[in-house]
Amino acid sequence: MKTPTSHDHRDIDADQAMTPMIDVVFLLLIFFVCASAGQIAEALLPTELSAGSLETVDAVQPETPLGDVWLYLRRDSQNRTVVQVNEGGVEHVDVSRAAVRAELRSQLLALAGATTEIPVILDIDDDVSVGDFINVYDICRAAKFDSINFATDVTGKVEANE
Amino acid sequence: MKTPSRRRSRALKFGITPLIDIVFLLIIFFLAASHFAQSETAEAVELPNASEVEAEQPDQQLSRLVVTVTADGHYHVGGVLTESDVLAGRIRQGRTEHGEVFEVRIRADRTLAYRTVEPIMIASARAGVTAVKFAVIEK
Repeated sequence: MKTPTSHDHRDIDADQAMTPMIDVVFLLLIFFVCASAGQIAEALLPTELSAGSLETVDAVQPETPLGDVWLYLRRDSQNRTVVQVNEGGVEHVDVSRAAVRAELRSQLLALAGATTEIPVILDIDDDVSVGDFINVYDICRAAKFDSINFATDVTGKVEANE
Repeated sequence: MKTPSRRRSRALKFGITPLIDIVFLLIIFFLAASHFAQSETAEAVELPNASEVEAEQPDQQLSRLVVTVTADGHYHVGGVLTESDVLAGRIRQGRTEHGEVFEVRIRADRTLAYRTVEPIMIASARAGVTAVKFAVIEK
């Protein structure tokens, strides 16, 4: 009978040690692939509010937009979001549609083309969806306006928030 | 010379590799479980799309408050259901602790009405927080 040498033992141990290591490596690989595939990268859309201005800024009446661009966002009877540019101005119906957003974008780009210093004020109805309001705000940012504000109604009157 | 028997060579083997397997597996499991349990983004929401986005600054992680507004209109901070008045207190507290660098991040479901998000913006402005950011999916 052949007696196994110490050299043979080392070869066998090395072979046996490789298999669990490969197990672990594959396990880690699968874990990280699964963990990364399940996550959608989130981006950020920044706003810059004026701190504490809610109680200090004088009421700005939407009826007399002197040099401002007012964007009125509201829901119509068919539950579509309508954006009106200034009082009595052009209405863009259903901003969830890309074509309507393109129209609004071109109008705001034309306004910003004159000067980007015109303050833009978003007056958003409570019922307007977050997705639509973000779409409109995103278009305003794309037009590179210097100042984009949110109108709020905290004391029964509309006030500029930024 | 005595030849080592097969029985003795088996008894001398110490299976440390499977032990390491299990230990690593447990470590990974607990790390992953604790991460998902306490994650700021634990609640699944359908975020709105936007194109004018900015990249996240890694050094802002300690001075921000992430508010998730789920499709049912509830506020969650750090995976915990939070009432609106408590949330306003958290924003004021964060502003006091971190100063001007403090920011509020809103993760709101795109189907929600604006009325659910507006109170967070008002509370932030009142607390003196100027940086309010919306989490979006880049177009």
